[in-house]
Amino acid sequence: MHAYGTQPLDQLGIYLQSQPMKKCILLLIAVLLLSCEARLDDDARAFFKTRIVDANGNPLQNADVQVTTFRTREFVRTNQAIPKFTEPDEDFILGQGVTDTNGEVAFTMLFDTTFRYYVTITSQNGDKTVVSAGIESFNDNLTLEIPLITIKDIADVQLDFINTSGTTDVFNVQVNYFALNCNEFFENNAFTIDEDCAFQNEIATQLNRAAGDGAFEFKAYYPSVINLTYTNESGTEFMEEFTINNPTERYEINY
Amino acid sequence: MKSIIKIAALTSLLLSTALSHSQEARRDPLGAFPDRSFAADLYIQSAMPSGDNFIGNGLSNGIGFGVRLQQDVYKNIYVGGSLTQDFFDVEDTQVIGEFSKTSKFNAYLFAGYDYVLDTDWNITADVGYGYSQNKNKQDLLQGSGRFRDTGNVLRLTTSLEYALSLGVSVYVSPSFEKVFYNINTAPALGNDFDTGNYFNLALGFRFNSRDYNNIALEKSENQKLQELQSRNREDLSIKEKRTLYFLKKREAKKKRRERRNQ
Repeated sequence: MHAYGTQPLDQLGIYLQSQPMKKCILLLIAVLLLSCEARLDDDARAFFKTRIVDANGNPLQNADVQVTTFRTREFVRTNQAIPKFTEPDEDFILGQGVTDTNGEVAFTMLFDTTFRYYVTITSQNGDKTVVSAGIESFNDNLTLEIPLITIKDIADVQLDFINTSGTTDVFNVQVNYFALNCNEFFENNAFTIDEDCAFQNEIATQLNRAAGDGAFEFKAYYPSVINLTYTNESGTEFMEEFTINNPTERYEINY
Repeated sequence: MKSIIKIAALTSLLLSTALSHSQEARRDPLGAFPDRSFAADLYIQSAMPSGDNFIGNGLSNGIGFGVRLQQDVYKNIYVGGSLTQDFFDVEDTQVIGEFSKTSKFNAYLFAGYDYVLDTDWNITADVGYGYSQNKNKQDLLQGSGRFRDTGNVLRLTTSLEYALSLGVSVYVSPSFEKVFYNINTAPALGNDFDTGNYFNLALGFRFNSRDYNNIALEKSENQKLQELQSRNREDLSIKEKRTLYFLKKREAKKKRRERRNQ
């Protein structure tokens, strides 16, 4: 006979596998899950304001604007760590509104102390644009004001590398551009491409290994900028920048 | 919905209890009318948000219930405590924020005056101050988030009460609440979130405990006591037995009081 506290683990394991214990554990898990409350910040109301224009600078009317907050699906020791089964950027609606004839929208928001907020703009034809911002953009006064959001169009871009020098060097090429799967990140009153896209929006390959390997075609938002870096075998680095301002853009790079 | 069913069931229970008591005399068998010393209230109420603020413009009318306990402290002045719970739907998310339902909980202390119109009717009025909390809930599409708005409530409560018996009365109670919320807001929102007003109309039952000590036996009552005691108990009617019981009880209390004062 063993006292309960000194029972060997294998015996305890056998005991746990018994049917009543299984039911108890399942019941306990169900109770724990049901008792979880996804908490937003108590005693707080924030304010959101922006103006939205299209790629040509015209006000975007009657667009639905939603501000949502980010949650993870993992348990961690913060008050934000409530597992949910929606997409992270659609987790909690903090506030929403519709743009007026001038493209302006302003509304009251709930607040959630987290590190990332998403502004999802749905135009009348159903196109969605997402802009994200960090908590520092609230300026410590619960106000998220983005002066201007420009809805970008999609451009077909073609980059052609042409060997005019006759070199046989193989070049390492990296192309960074505003890819369709990336959001703009609003920080310090300016937009940058979301750092989460750093590994996805670049073309990284080698050039001049075979004939015709210098042609690249891709889609990117515009107006935006393409940053191009290519390095020869001796390590010399060349950098160039191109702007995308039209639905189709083509640039030739001679090397 | 479950809360509303519970409230309805509780109300039915209280109503049946009160009606069974209503057959009792509203005075004790001696015709005296003892003062109320303690009361416990149960009520349901309709809560109407009002005012040009996030509560008045953002919430629809709600329904709730409450409980009050009050003790007379001096003559007809009483003090007590109360708990209330009200349920509201959100009418305008642009005004109040992106959530769908709220439940308001109050816990406050009060002091007031109980004015006895006659043996059937009373009027009470009291002022209370305490804690208030709105527990706000998002629906599934909004993300199922939960958060609270907290503050302090100042509540003015009046009631018009009709005694069904010495122990039970029914009352209607209009009241007004002003909640001073502790909500941090963006400067652009102004003072819309500073306060919220509610007008409530309650219907409830009051269960009373009365003070028989204050009713002294008069000489005629002493005579009656002696007369009833001198008779064979088996010959007394039920009414006379009841009268004898109350006279003995009162006499005993009187003697205890006298012993204490010696």
